[in-house]
Formats: sequence, structure tokens, C-alpha cells
Amino acid sequence: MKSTSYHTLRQGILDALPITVSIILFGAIFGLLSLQTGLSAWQSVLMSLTVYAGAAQFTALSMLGEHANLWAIVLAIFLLNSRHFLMGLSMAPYYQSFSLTQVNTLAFFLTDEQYAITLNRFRSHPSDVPYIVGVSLSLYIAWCGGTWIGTVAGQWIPDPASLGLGFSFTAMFLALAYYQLYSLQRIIVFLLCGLLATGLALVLPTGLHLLAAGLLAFAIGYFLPEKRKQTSEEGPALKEVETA
Amino acid sequence: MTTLDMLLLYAGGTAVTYLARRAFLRLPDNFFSPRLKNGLTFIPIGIFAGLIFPSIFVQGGTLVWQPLFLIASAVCVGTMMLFRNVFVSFGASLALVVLVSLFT
Repeated sequence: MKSTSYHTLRQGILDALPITVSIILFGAIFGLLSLQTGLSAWQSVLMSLTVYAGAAQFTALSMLGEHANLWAIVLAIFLLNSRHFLMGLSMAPYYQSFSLTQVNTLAFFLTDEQYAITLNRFRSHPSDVPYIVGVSLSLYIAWCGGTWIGTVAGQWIPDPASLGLGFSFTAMFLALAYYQLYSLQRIIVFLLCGLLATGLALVLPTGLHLLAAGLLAFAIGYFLPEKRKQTSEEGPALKEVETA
Repeated sequence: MTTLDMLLLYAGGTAVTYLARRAFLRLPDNFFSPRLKNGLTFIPIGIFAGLIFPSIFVQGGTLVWQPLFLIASAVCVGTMMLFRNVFVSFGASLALVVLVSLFT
């Protein structure tokens, strides 16, 4: 039993590895920018340790630079992270067998990247805590460690934009999304949601377009259920939920 | 901002982020009807689309045309179709972007 836990924990760390390097870099950029905004090193690292929400933290920095009101920044963080309501909802079936303490703890680590990687795993494997812990800790340590690196060695960090490293997140999400697109209906929904999200990203604050795209996909899935049997790929995970 | 303000900001930011992540993560077993389950299986499609498309077509609040990202995305999907391996697909498409960015 212990060796199984160790194996899945290790697998979680390995699966998170490709994106870990990028997260360290972006964490370092955050650390560097936060110093430039006027935060001290400990304030920068503390924000990563506690808030732990990349896009929201960058937005908070920008608002701090403009001397925005404290509660306006908190509201912006809330709006940016509102997409996690839907992510949590879609992950809920996989968390049903976990204890309340485990769910309460793991909820803190539910970032976009953790969501994408664990969802991909549970498509074909039963959900398990060690795997989520492996992924979550890798990403958390990478983000907080990266922030610290940025505060102590910011001047030596390469610019991710000039290297095109911003694409690393797109590449990972695209590769993982591939497994979701196994029917014509799903491909059409994907394109529709992409169109909607792109349009809304031009006019709405970051984060809300994601929420809208998730809601549209949910509505289509709810009101126009697929007329087919579940694929073998998603079968085991959902079956496990039903019997949990 | 004073240190106390910063600590309040962190506490508020942590609380609202945690609330969004935790709110629906655990629901009663009888909550999941077959229809709801089907709806839930579609959410990742919307989330992924919302993460991918704007990152390719929107920058700084304006629509942009980035042929390199489009080609790399095609490479990413193409390698997934061929090898069905996230590592290979991720590595190949990112390597293309980094190499082109380095030499242009």
C-alpha cells in the first residue's frame, strides 16, 4: 500500500515536471517585479506562500503600484479566481472519496496547472491523494521558490517573453486538452468556447472570460447530453466515483 | 501601505482565493445526477479553451496575430495525434517556439 502511495506521489512529481521550470521562471519574474513595486523580499515570498495565485498576484502588484485601495485589490483577486468555482465543481466527483481534511487541504493547491494535470490523470486512473500531493507540492515549491529566487537574483533571470516561454503554458494546456476532444460535439464546444473566451478577454478583466467559457461548456453538456456510451478513457475514473 | 495593510491584503487575498477553490470541491453524493455529471465532464473543455485561445490571440487587451504560436499549436496537436504523449508534444512545440525566438 505504501509503495503504491509512493509510486503515485512520484508519478505526480514527474507529471508536473515539464511545467515546473516555467513556473520557477515566472515566479522569479514575480519576485523581481514585486521588489520593483516596493515590496520587501519577505513580503513577496509571503504573498506567494499565502495567496498562491499567479495571475492574481501579478494583478495585485500592478494595483499596488497604482496605490489602489486594499479592498479593491482583494475584489480583483476574487474576480480573477472566480474560475476556480467551476474548476472545483468539475473536480468534485473525483474528490468524493477523500476525507474532509484532505479536501480542505488540497483545495488550497487547486491552480490552473494542478487542475489540468490531475484531471488528465483521473481520466484513466482512480483519483488518489498522493498523486495530487505530488503535483501540488511540485508546483507550489516551484512558484514560491521561484519568487524567492527573483528577490535575490532577479537581475540574472532571462526574460521569458524574449525566449517565448509564455507559450509553455499554452503547450501544456493544449496537449492535455487533446484528451478531452474525442467527439465532434466536444471539438465544436471547444472552438465555440475559445471564440467566446477570446472575445470576452478583450473587454472583461482577466479570469471572467474563463468562467464564461466554462459555464457555456457546462450548459451545452447539461442541456445537450452526448448520445453515446462513455469512452473507455474516461470510464474507470467516473466508475470509481459512482461506486465511491 | 503599512505592514498591517499588507497583511490584511494577504489575508483577504488568501481567503477569497481559497473560497473559490474550496466552495464546490466537495458536494453530497446525491448531488450528481447523470445529466449534471455530463455537464461537468464538459467544463474542462471550456476551461481549456479559455486558457488556450486568449493566450494565442490576445495580448495586452488587444487582438494579435502570432503565426509562430499558431504553428507551434499545430505542431503540439499534430504530435499528440501521432504519439499521444504529453511530454513529446509539449517539448516539441515549446522547443520550436524557443528556437525561433532565439534566432529571430
